[in-house]
Amino acid sequence: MKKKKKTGRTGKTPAQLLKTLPEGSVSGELITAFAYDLDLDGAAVDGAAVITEDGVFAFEGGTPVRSVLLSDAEEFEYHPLVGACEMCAETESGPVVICRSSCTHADAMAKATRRLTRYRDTGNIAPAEGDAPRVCPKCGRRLRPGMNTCIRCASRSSLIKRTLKLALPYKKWLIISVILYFVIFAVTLAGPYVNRLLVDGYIDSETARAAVLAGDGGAVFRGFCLTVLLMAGLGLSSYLFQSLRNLSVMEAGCGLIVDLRRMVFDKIEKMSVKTLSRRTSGELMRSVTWDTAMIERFITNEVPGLIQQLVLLVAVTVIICLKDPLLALLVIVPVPLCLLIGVKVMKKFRKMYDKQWRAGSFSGSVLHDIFSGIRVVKAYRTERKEEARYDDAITKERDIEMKNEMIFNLIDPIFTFVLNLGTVLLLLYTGSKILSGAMTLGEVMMYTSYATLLYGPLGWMVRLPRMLSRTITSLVKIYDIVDEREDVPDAETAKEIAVTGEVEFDNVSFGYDEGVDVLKGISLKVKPGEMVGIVGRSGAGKSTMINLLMRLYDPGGGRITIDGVDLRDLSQHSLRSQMGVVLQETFLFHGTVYDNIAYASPGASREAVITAAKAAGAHGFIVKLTDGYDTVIGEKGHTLSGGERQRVAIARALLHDPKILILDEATSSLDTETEHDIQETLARLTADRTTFAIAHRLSTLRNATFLIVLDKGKLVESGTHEELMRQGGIYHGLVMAQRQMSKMKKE
Amino acid sequence: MESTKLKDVISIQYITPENAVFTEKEGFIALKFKTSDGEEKDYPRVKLQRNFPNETPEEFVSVLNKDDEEIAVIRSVAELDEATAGMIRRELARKYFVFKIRKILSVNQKFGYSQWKVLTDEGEKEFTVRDTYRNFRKIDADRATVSDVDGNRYEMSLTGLDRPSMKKIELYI
Repeated sequence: MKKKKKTGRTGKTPAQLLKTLPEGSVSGELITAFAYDLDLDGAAVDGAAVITEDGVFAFEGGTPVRSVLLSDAEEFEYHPLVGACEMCAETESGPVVICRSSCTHADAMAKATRRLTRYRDTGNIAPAEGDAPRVCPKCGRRLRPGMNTCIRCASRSSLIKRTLKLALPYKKWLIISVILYFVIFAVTLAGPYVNRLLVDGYIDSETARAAVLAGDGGAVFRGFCLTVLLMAGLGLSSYLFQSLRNLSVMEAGCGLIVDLRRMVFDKIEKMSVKTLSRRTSGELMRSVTWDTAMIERFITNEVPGLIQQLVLLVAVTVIICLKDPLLALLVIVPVPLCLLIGVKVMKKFRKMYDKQWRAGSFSGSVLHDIFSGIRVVKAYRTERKEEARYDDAITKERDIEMKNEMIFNLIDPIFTFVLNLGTVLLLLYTGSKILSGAMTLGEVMMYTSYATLLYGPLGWMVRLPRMLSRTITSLVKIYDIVDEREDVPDAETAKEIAVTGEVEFDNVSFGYDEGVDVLKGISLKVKPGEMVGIVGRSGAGKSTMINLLMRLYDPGGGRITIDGVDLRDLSQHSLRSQMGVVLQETFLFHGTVYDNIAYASPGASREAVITAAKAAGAHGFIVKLTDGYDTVIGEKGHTLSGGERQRVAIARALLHDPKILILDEATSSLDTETEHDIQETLARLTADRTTFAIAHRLSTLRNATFLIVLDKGKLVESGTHEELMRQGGIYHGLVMAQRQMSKMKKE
Repeated sequence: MESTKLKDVISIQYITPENAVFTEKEGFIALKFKTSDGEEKDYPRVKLQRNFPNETPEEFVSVLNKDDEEIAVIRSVAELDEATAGMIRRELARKYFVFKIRKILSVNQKFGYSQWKVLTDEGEKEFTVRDTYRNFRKIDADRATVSDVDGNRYEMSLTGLDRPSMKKIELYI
């Protein structure tokens, strides 16, 4: 087998990389360099690619293998493969592969290719913002996109410290709970002592018996009753303090969990769409509900618990030690044994329960899957098949659970037995002391109680690692969200302006994934009040243009301006408050029709809402609803048809009265006639607002001032309907195809 | 009237010895293709795309042009002549790059990520997997794959791994 040097994640800087290569083997000023690890046939190799003003030079094992000069290449491209990637060039004599690599170097390769292309296009040699790889400040390892903590360096203690800070506002309640705990503890400790007084002073006491026989029974009896009362009082106060303590823990806990959820939710809401789409909503929901609950429990229960149990352990050990060190030793003998078993077994348990949890969550998701698709299941009559699928999942879950319970119930008693072995040793020892008269019965009972008290914290500590590991998992997930960099942040000098609606796309390029551009060099100027129709095949980049205009993403190259101001310099609040959007997928929130129309314009008058609904052609069907505008719609409410939903969404956008209106297939679910009516209203409304409209049905765009045609991310045609028809390009083809279709329908 | 079958209406354009000539260049392949209406087309570089990468990696392989549009489909690599099959297999191995795991040295869970240390055909490798349960995939009784945070893929033979290795991944199977 070939020996290969381990490829470290740290990597070398371009200058360091250049130094490893023979001198004078490249020409031109260095722009950047990256390492790669596969040769053209996919075998492992120690490669380096150097990018200079002259072109790209590839080296394998220190010897030059390929190079493409800038002057020979028409285009440099980065291609993601499966589990690998490559850098290519289009030259006059055909395509050339420059180098290949596993995905370990994909990010560096994509960025280098982009930088080279930018240099060729603009002569700009400086790295663009975001090109520099983010590295962990501690170890210098590269941070993956979407990862904010370097897991190797994330220390448990710093995480926990940060979390404890969250508890500061509630420290009053937490301190009260700890104090109360010790009060309860003192009461508990007093219990065995009073018990001993009772036994040694009255029940098993020669003097008491003698006093009673001597006729002084009254005094003895009074003392006896008092001691019993004292015991009862101790018990009562213990319960009282316990209640008080629970209340203060609850006070802290309830406040804390609201704080935590607010913190996580606020952050999630601020995240860009790009960041959000990396996580499933299930994941986010789990973080807001489950992970915060784990942390709340950790702060309110486990941290005070740790302090308490430690103090308890020390106190009880000292008390016993003071009386009889040998006794203390006997009590403690089983402890290391228990810890040993605990650590060994817990690891196994953790794996077991992890597996069970997975199986449970799997059967849950199977159920969810089947229920969401229940109409398809019914339509194809596949109930049996789904029954078998669910049955399979729950059977598997049952098997795992049964096995786990069996193992747990075999091991847990052993654990308890070993722990109780100490009590047996204790009895043996103290019993012999009684027999020899060195201890009284009361004392023995007291020490046995103390020993039992000791086993509480010991058992708790064995549980500690498992609990800590669960909390830390939650902590990391939460901080991963909270620490997420905002990737479309408001600039510090972000302006609030009232826009007139002049929009310009200036050589805009953008890709959702590194190195794969969805939009390429789009330039477009729109005057206030104009309506732009965006046409193109699916996947041509139409919706992406809209996403950029709404600044859900920032362009990778070029800029978008409104009234001459770069979107990045405009506050997002002011941008979106002057923008109205109707998307293909309309979303209605749970609430009344009124609430949904007035969603972006809170406090709108009923008259205004009805007017907007009329303009959107929605009033007609709303009037027919039994509860009119007060009808509850949304997930749990009255079901509206696709076309009705779209009209509610249009009404929402119109009421908002935006300067820029975006219609992304906004009328696609409507019949042609209704669409026509809304079009007419919109045409009258669009006079002083800039409108961007995407539609597959080209008749929708008949009112557009001009049309642009996108093809594979490039703006290929633009002009009025007539101009484009004369050109006889893509638009002409699309119109002809649709005419053909409608003609066929009529026949 | 006899009912029309789907396959009478839609047909898959297959690569045959008559309509296609593949040639291998440095690190990629080119194609000369004759369409069904007899037109000859030259593709200086074509891409291959498996339609069933897990189930039948050598059957139903699409041949795409530069813009990812399908030219034709290879029904089965094994049915091609020896030289062409070799070319196609080499190109597939280049596009679908996967590290073959021989031995698993350690798998450590930390904070929802797992750190793997393995022995591959390319030597020892260390990598990080995010959300291990989702990125570890058991394909059939023998094969399993795992993808790391970079997008690298690793394949292992479940029957070929030794017991200590298996113990380290049993949680995910």
